[in-house]
Amino acid sequence: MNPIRRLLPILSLVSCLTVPAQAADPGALALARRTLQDGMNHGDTASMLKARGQFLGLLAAEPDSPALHYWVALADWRLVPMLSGKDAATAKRHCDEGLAQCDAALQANAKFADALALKAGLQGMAIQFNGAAGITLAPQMVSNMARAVEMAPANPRVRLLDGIGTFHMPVFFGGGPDKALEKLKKAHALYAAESPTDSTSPAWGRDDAFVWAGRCEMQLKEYTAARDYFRQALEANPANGWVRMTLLPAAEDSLVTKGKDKS
Amino acid sequence: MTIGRIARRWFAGGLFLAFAMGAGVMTAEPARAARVEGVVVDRTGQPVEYATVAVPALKRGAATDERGAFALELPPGPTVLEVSQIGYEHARVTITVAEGMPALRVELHDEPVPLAEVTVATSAFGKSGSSEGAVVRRIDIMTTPGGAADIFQSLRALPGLNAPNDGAALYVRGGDPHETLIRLDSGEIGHPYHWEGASGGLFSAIDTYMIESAFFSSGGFSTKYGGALSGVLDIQTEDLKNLKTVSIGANLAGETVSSTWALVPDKLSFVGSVARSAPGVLFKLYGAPRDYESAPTSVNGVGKLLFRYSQTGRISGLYLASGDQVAVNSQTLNTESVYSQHSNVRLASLQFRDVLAGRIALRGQLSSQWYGSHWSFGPTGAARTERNAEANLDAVWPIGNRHELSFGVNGRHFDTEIVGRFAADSTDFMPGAPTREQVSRPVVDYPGVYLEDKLRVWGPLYATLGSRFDWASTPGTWTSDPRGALAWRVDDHQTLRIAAGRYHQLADPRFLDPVYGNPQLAPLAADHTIAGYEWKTDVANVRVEAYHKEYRGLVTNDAATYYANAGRGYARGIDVFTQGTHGSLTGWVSYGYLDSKRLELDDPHLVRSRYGTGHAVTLVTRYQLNSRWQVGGKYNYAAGRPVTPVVDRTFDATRGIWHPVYGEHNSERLPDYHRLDVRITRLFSLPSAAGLKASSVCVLYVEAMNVLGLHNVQDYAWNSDYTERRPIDSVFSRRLLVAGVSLSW
Repeated sequence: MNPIRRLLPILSLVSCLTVPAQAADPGALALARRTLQDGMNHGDTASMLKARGQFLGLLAAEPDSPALHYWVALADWRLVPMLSGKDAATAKRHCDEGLAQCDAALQANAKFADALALKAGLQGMAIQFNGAAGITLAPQMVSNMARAVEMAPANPRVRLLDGIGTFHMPVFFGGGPDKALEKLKKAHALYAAESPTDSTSPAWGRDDAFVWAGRCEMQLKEYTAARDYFRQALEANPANGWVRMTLLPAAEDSLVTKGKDKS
Repeated sequence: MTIGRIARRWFAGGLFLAFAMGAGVMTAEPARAARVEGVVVDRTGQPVEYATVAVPALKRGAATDERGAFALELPPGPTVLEVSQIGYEHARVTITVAEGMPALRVELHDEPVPLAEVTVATSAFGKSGSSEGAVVRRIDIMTTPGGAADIFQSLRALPGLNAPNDGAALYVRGGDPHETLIRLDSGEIGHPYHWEGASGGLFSAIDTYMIESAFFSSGGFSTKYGGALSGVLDIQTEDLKNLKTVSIGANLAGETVSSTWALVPDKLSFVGSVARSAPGVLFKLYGAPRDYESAPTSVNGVGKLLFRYSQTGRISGLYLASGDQVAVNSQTLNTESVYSQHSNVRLASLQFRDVLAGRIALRGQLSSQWYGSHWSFGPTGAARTERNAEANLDAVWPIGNRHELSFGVNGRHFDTEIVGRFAADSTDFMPGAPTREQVSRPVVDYPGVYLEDKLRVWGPLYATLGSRFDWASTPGTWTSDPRGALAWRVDDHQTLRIAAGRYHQLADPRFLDPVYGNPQLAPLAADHTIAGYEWKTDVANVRVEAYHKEYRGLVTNDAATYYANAGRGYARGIDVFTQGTHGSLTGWVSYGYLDSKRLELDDPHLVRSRYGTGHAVTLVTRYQLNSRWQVGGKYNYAAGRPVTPVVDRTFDATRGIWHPVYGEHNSERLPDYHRLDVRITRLFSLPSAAGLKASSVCVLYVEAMNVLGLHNVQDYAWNSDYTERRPIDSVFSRRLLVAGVSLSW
């Protein structure tokens, strides 16, 4: 037997032993992702900040990783609405930092549709902090989101972010709950068909898609449909505290106090 | 054993040894690594949680916990830790890793507010901030009650603008409207109003649809702006948009069509607008404030083609054409006659902007403006033609975190031709009055350069320091304008500002004529000193500013040289601006107090300025009933404008007419100005029908102007022998109900 072939298992073993010292630890990444999700589930900004710190710690090992830049940006995207009511200046910094992380992810991988959609989402959030710049940010957001959808039409997170952006956009600018709902329904179908490929892939948002569909239905005064969406959100993520404590009770309460659905 | 086999064994053995050693080095590393522990704290010693502690050289990193603590396994020896957290300055700490080393303590300093986010400039009142100051956005113009969706009418609601009448001209802190520089896409537009002659300018010749934003400053402005003594209005038109929209608007006073069209997505787009106003319908409904020979009409159109040639670079061409005419029975002193006027403006400009070497933002502009007007009143009349050209190149270069350098060069060429008959006696406009013919064509070149540094001086203290130098070819003099401002951010909500600077402006071209004027007239000068305080939160904004403006070299009449730079003056006062939002209610109150005196033209000594009013108050409110309905109101009060009284009369037996004898210049005031406007706005969209797709945002509004029906006096006229005085009402001195709609697809 060729001695080099005999050595291959040893070489592989040696190589494996050296990897954790230089690349992101999948366990650590999973832990950070869990921490972020826990933070979201409990509305706990401290956990979300902690997760963000963990992602950044991992980014130190892989400074060119688009996925890690993406996860930091996602943490920022989650943090901005949580902080904006309490500390607008810090929220703005997270918004700016999230945009910078999206740019870094896109620089490493220009076809990273998730990062482009997230950037569009952050641009939408940035409008509230930038006053006059909102005039230019809004078209940029629309343009980036359209490009992201074009790049990855079957990506459920892109559709989710598109739906959320449409939900927040004023009706007279082409937004509104009814138009958002169409996009979110598309996201539901795509989430159902998606199977995560690896541990770093940006798999998240299945429950969010139901949450935002429920919020659309609430605005449309379709309380039964809203309640059903919130229940589906809990099926996807039973720990989602926002749905359990606030949204679902609100939908059920509306069904009782406001009577029948609009339709 | 062949040599080949021996060689292969040696090679395999060596390879194994090499990898084993390598593995030994790498796998033994954790065994030899030392544990580096520490804590990250802020300036006050409080732990900084979830900060990142990274060792880029080794590609290692960790996050601090709730107690600010971190731990890393690192190989012994010198290394550099990089510590960062949002809101703090990045820290680099060089350490020598060793077994049993003591715990580290890393202190992070608060991150200074980025230079770009600090407004150092004073007197930039508006609705939202930018690095340069405050700006007024198109939506503000569209929704300001009583503003008729016109930029100049909307600006009247800001402090520093003393608005003693209904006109659109900008009277900034006691200054003549000509003391405010008005720029469109970085180039000066000399005649931005319609009906300048009849009403001092009533509405803008720039359709609001074309406007993206406008920066307005009432003093202490940057060295970037030259040739203006009092204020700056810098209008930016629409940027590249990936949209295809068409808007049609109409109200009782006119109609407009505008469009944005993406010709090549992300690359080439067109935006344009055509507007026509003819308030004849309005006058038929409500009656005209004056007796028009022919109702005033105006037309203006703007087109802009914008090409993005790279990620950062774009070039655009803009063409603006506007015209207006009016013929109205008018009265000056004791003479009633038809005042007729028509004027046209053509402006063509080319702009580019790009980023040089990824660091320097460049903006260039080249424009040419032609203006022609003709007016006549009684035996007098004149034609004025201007052929002006301008080129600007502006650069902004952020140097590190502490400096942002702005510099640029401007070139302006003014060529003004005036041909006409003017009254030989300024109190006689009767038929047969003596007149003098005048043909003059002064030409002035006015190039300039500027350099300004916006810097963080220390901690929360920021400054701008700079100077500009301009050369006036007539009379051939250099002027230097040093300017500086300091801003101290007391905390995230409060800022104190002071500013001081020198400002120069060319004398009006008619004074510089070599025959009928004095080409040796030096540019006029003003020194600004401003101190202000701002308190700002997400829902409220309070600004208070005190200012003093000292004029030197104002133009006075001179027996020997026609005109001289012997005038002087001052304007001082206080401006207060309070803006707030509470739920669906938003609004602002602005108050200005002005004390201004000037000695110019035929003033015998320092007298009250004719451009200044004492007190001015504006209250604007808007209430969003729901996402579709909005109601708003604006109340405006201004102390009456100073006027010169007629105290006596003399009879001219030769002409058989009476002449007025004036009292102390500007010693009387017109009655105070009051006006209340109310506006209801409905936003809606149309469903797809008749082959048309569903509409974009559509606006329906009903605006009641001068709801209280108050008669505001614009001036006085006299009967033929000056024994009776009667007031001349301002344009909106009657209740007007204007309904309008704007449909967009």
